[in-house]
Amino acid sequence: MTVTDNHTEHQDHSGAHHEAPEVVDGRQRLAIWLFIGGDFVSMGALMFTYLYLRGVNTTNGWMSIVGMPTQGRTLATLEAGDYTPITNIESKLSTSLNWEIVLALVVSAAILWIGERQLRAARTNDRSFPFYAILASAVATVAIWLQLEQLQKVPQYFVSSNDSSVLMHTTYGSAMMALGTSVIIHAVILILLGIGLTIRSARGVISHDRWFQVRLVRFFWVWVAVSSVILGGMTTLFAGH
Amino acid sequence: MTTTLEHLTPVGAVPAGGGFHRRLNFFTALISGGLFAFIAWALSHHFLNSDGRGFSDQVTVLASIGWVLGFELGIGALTPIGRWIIGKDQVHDDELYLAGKNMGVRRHWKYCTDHKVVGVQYIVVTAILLGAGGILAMGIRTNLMTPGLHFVNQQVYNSFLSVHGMLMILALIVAVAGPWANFVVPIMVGARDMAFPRLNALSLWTLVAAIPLLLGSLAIGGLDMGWVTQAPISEQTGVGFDLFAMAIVTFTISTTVAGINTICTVMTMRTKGMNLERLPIFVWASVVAAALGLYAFPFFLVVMSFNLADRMVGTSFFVASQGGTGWLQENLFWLMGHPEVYVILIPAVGALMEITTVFARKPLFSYRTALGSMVGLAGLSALVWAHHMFTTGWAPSLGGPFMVTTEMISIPTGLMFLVILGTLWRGNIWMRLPMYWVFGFLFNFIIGGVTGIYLSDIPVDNQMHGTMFVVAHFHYVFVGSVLFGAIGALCFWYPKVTGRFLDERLGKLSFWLVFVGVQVTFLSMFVSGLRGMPRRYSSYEMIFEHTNLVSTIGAYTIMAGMLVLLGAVITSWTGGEPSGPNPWNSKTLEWLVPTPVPLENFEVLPVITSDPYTYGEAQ
Repeated sequence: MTVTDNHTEHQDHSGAHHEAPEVVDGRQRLAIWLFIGGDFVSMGALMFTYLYLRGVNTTNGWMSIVGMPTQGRTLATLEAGDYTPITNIESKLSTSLNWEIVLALVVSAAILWIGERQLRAARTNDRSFPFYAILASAVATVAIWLQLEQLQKVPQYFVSSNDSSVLMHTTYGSAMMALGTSVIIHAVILILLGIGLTIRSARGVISHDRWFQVRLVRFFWVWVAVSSVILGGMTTLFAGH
Repeated sequence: MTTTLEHLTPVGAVPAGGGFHRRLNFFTALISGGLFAFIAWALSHHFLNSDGRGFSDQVTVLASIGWVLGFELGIGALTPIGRWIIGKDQVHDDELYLAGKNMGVRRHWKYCTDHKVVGVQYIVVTAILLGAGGILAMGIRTNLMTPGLHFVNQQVYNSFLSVHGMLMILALIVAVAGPWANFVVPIMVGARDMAFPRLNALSLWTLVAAIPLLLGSLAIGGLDMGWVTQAPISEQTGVGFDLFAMAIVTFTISTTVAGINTICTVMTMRTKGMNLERLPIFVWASVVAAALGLYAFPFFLVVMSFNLADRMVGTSFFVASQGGTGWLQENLFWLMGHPEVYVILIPAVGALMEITTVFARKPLFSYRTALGSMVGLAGLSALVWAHHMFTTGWAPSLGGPFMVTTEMISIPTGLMFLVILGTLWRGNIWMRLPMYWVFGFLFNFIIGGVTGIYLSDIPVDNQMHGTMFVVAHFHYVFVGSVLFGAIGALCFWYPKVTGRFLDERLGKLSFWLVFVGVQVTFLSMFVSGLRGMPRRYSSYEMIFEHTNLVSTIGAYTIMAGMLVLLGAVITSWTGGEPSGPNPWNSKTLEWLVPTPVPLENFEVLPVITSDPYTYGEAQ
């Protein structure tokens, strides 16, 4: 390898080097796309799980289970003899609530995107961006709240196992819990990022001429919204067996 | 002549920055991790229903989450994230402090962002993982020395098998990519550091946090389903599984962060003139392995999470009686499991190619073939996972296609092999210590590779699946090939890290002990397998006695070789023969900077005007 020496960047000779914000931004953009790529594989694994379990429908357990719904019962009442196994209970979750969660995530992404456009279009220091960032975070919080409500409705059953009763979910319920938990984890990350953007823009670290990080966050935010649309579509189109 | 001692001795004032980090180190991380684990344990006992399903599993998982968070807080890995959120970014002095400027050996115990320090930390972590896995291997082999020996009871034996497998897999995933993608890759591409130094340190310390979880699984009852976490056994085994699974979840986070960092460093921080065709082949190997890891490890995360959910909250992903299926577990696991083999193998082969070209004093034979073979391996590895499931009954109609894709993978593998042979051909071979490991690799990889082709054929696999033949095959790949690559890389770059040669005499002794030990251990294991001995059994019929005794003797020989190597590494670190900055007369950039390598690697960034392998050409 033949090399020649060359000063390609300013140095203050105290061990520090400075890179242009555009260079750092390019690097961070690649990183966020790679992260989204990894997240895409995770989403693929969740979708594979959902469709596979629905497809094989082992022991007809996709949406029903040989057991007793837990509503109004406890393990003690079962042990007292109130246990008549029943099957074929459809346990499909609310489609409309699913789409409300999707809507909340899409709206939060749109709010952040609008905020970013305003920030980038501003010629002077635009003080409205913190409002957009915190609003987007608030809407993402609504998505979490709705998702938690949805998760609470995943039916749980007492089923017989090795001479005792245990709590179980159908495979549909299990897959929906996995998807819901994934949404919550992503939304929590969005909220942290949104709060970070709010504080940073309020402190002037983000401004009309330093908006790169807003774009990075927006990439991820939009990806979360898009993935929620895909998952919402899948769970709507391919629910019952 | 520069020496290790100069490398470790502070030559100026420690920067004034650092803030809260000044108080943090490995020991505060241990204390904080323990404290958070205890708090999580106490809170979960207080708030969770102790009569509910999976209570013990929930407590164990929450306590391990507490451990990881506490450890990361205690080492300072989460501080930059917190500072980003509150808008107080680190200033220049903070960055110099975090890079360990003028801090001497202390920086190795801290959250240090200097990629060279992280590389050394990875060497130590790899040694710990290999050491712990090796001790368990010796327990296993001692138990199998004679039939019915019961050196350990069967439950402990099963736990040893499971944890040995996972420890060694994790060790080999990081054995080359950890130390050398950190220490040398940034210098090789002409960069001052990794793209994201703080994430780099985060990935290292996240890996460190995972190790006690994995070892701790032995202490709380162990687990008995093998490293593949086979359902439904993984649903039924003790709480040791929860720590085991949490260790893997933690590890996948570490690897994902590290992979993104490696790719970004190479793609965005190359110096002027370092175009993609001038990248040293080890850099490409690191990038391809990192990209493959980004594809593979999310499956690992998902399958372990599902296992935990089944145990903790009553989901039924893998519970066939309630609608789930063990095939889902196998599919998700092997969608990760086979690409992971190449995440392990490709960096090792890349390092050996680098060594070969230097010590054969020849350009790399067909650079593009080398690169194409790595990319081909990575691509095909995503299409072969079901060959691990030929005997399970899953999708028999897909057996043929998966057999073909598996056999096709021998093409890029063979090309990689030919690249090394072609580079050696008519080379002026300089037989120093690193070259021993190259030749050892070539010998072992032929055996590991060819037996892999046998196993890819469904009729043979139907006979051999679950036998010691399979164990011997993959140990020839992992120990005989990858570990040889990792040790070769250590011998090669050791002078750049320490300024001293690794002791050649001890190194060669180590090589011959390990090389002979591998043949003795695993060739006889092939015989055990061909005679029908199943894997994972703690005792066996008399017919297998002699081959098992020979395997155990071989295993002890490997252990002796590894201990000699450890001794050589430790004694040479401060007492080895000084090497100077470029002892091998190599032409890649890491050898053209001083040893010890300065904090930011280059006084001025170089401009590259030719490819890295111009050996034998007129200058």
